[in-house]
Amino acid sequence: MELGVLDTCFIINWARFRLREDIKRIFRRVVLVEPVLGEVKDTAAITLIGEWLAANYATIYPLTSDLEAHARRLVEISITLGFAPIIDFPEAYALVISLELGGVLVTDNKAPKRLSELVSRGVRRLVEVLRDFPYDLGSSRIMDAVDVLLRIYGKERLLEVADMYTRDTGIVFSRRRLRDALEGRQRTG
Amino acid sequence: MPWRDARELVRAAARVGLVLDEREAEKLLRKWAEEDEEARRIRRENADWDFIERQEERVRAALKFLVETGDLRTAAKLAGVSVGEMDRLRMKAGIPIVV
Repeated sequence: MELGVLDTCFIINWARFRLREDIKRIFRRVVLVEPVLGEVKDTAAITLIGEWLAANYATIYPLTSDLEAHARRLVEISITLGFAPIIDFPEAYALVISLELGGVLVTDNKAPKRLSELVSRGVRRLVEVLRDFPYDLGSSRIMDAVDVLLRIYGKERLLEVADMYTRDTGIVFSRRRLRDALEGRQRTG
Repeated sequence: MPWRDARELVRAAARVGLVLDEREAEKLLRKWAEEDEEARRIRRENADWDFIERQEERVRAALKFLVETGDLRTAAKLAGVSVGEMDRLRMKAGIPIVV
């Protein structure tokens, strides 16, 4: 099983999902980076994180100066590229930590996936952009809530649990995203 | 979509040293634009516009921005609240996060 590095929006919503403990079926452990933890004020999410920390299922990854510098570089790159939304620092740091630990970034934000897609599909040649960036962005593994539900419950139950997830969290899955997932065109990290 | 066309993305990429294939960039932009348009339509259709219009100016602006972009973090900054608080406002306003 893998290591999941969770972003803010994902953990806030996942904490409201009635089957939230099922995430343990796909991640042996989850990591919350300090800047993400700082953004979480929601009671349900804080309660869940507290329980997971107490059970030694979750770990908090602190800020370190060298990894923070890599994350700030990612933010700068997304700004220069004109991404909207840009990759914010907390999710950039979570992405760097997922690369550092060989884990999967779990986020419902599109920007990290798109940056990875751009680097893996659109680039003919890298010149200097990632000269001081020691990770292969194009091979970063990023999952969103659809990927997580699919991985846990499989295609057979995807529509059923997606509907349940929507009722619990207010997250809506686009038809295109669900169709792609059911047809096996999703990126699952 | 922040780029007018693939050429603009290619130029932006060149500024950070990425050399993009224009045809690949075009394909990605088309795919992303379609995704964004569908997500925007779902948010607009589901939003409780009466609730949004009843909010004080800063929160109202943030919620409208959220409907258009789906960008929760920036919406929280606009409203001057935490991401968690913005997410609660989002739910009250019936604005779905579209994945």
